[in-house]
Amino acid sequence: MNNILEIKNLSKHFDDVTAVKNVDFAVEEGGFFSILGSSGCGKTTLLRIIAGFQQESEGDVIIRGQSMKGIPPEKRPVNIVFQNLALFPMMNVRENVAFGLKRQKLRKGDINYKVNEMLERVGLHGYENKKVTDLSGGQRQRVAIARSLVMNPSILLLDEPLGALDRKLREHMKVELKLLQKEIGTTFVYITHDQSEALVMSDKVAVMHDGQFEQIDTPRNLYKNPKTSFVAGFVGDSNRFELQSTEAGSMTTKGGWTLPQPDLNGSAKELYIRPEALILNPANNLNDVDRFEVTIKTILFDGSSTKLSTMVSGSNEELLISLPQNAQFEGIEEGHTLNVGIHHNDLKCF
Amino acid sequence: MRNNKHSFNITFYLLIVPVLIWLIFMIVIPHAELLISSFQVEDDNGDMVFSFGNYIEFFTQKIYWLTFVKTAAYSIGVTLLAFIIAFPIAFYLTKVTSKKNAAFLMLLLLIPLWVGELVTVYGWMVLLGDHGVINHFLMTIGIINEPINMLYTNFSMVVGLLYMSMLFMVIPVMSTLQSMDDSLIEAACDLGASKWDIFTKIIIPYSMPGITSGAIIVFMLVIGDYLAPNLLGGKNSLWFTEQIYNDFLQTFNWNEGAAFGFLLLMLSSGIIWLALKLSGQKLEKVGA
Repeated sequence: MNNILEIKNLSKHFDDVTAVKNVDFAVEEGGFFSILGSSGCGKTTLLRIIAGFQQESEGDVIIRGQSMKGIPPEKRPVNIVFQNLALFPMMNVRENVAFGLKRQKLRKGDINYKVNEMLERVGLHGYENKKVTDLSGGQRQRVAIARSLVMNPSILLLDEPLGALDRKLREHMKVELKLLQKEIGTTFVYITHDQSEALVMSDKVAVMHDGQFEQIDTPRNLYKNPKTSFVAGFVGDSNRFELQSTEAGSMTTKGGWTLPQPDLNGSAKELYIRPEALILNPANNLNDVDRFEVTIKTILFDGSSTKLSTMVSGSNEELLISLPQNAQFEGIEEGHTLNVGIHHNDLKCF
Repeated sequence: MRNNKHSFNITFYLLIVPVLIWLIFMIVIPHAELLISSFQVEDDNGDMVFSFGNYIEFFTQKIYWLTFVKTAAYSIGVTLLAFIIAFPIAFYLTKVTSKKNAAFLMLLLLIPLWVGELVTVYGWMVLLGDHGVINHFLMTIGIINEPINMLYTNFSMVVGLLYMSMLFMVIPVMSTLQSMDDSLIEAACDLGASKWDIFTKIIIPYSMPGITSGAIIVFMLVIGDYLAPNLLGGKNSLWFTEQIYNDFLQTFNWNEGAAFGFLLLMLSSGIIWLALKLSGQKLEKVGA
């Protein structure tokens, strides 16, 4: 394992707030590392410290084994793609991409070669002489990425670069960015508040909350085995229940719903159940499944992510259930009752 | 619908009429009048006849076109100086200091405009004169024994011209700098640009429309100014507006004055056109 970036006990204090608290992590060479958090959680501050635009209060940033203390942004082997892209509006596409290379005083031929190659790679061949203000959102995005990548940085930092795009284009750029990263092999550190962006693109995701990392894990583990209640609530959709009492092997929610829980830790206060973890009409031969009945209140139609809003029979708890859009559940209507099951492993208690 | 359209027409005419009156009576007619009289000279009988004489007079009399060239050169120089002084001020007010400080400092910059050019010019006379504040101070602390001759020189004239026009450079430059996102500077920094690169390759090109419109205003104000050259300039800092003034009010040669006025108009328009061409700016963009 070869760590290209190591963050050691990093903290950043502003006048009376601490934006980053004791963050400690490492990023592997060639990886796609995302930092996921809601706005104001300190992720942008963290990124700006890595880039060198802000000074850490404590701790250290180490790139390729070398401490970055006192090294200004223009001397660090990282480049950043800004949230608003920060393209130079008075220059055309070629001049934007060539800007950094010109600062290195490379030969004109070399600059042209590198710029052409990079524009080709991001699919902007033929747009060299267009003004950046005449480009579409997705194209501007690619210019910004090309401008940073052409510098051949050790690490490319991306500050929510897809935030300003519309939904369709964002979905498209997500896939494109991931493919681009795979192809060129540069380490990407990507910050976002959009969990889908983080989950789709990353090898590793760090969930940041209130200046601290809650969990660093693969996207699948983050979703399957959240370590804290914040992660469980933040990553993916969840039904959240407050627990009233927990006894040996079973637990009861505030709304009076009793569920079995074989390996419950005694101090658990909350229960999370993902809408898509619920099994409709579970087969009798499934093991470790708790079965119960629900009454459908409303159908929240949303294409492939259609959900049922239901009441758990014999209790006062609402439960959202994902409804597969196939022929099996076509006749389903409000007021019907349904048999539902949940595997014990999908009951997440904190 | 019909009614609507009708009332729109009335509003439209109500709005356009003052503009037209202004244009026709204040600008087109006087200029046409001057243009005609600039091509007239008095013949031996005292009658007005058509002639290029006024213009020929300008090109044959060395003093006229020397003043003309000097006025143009000094106006360009003052515009450059105004830019050199105003740009750091605009940059400081928009990007460095806090909004509250900037508002206060802006107020200080505006105060000279409130009292009018004449008063500020007299202010400079008090400061720069042989027995003025600056000379008195320098002599008291013993740096000089004799007063330095500053008033009634090209120096004092340039100071006065700069002082009254500088603000018109600061304001348009400030407004373009305000629209510049700081992340542009950070992006340039991130791509390895030095401070000088950031200044010459990012900040100046970005604020070029503001600089150009500021330069046009300053240049126009300076080349057409009369007070500062007349009161602060010496005997050999003759300004072209003073020639025109002399024609109209000293020698009462209105025809020559008219011709000189048109020459000044063509000169300033020509220089601005050339400057726009050279800097690659478009007038539409600069005005916006």
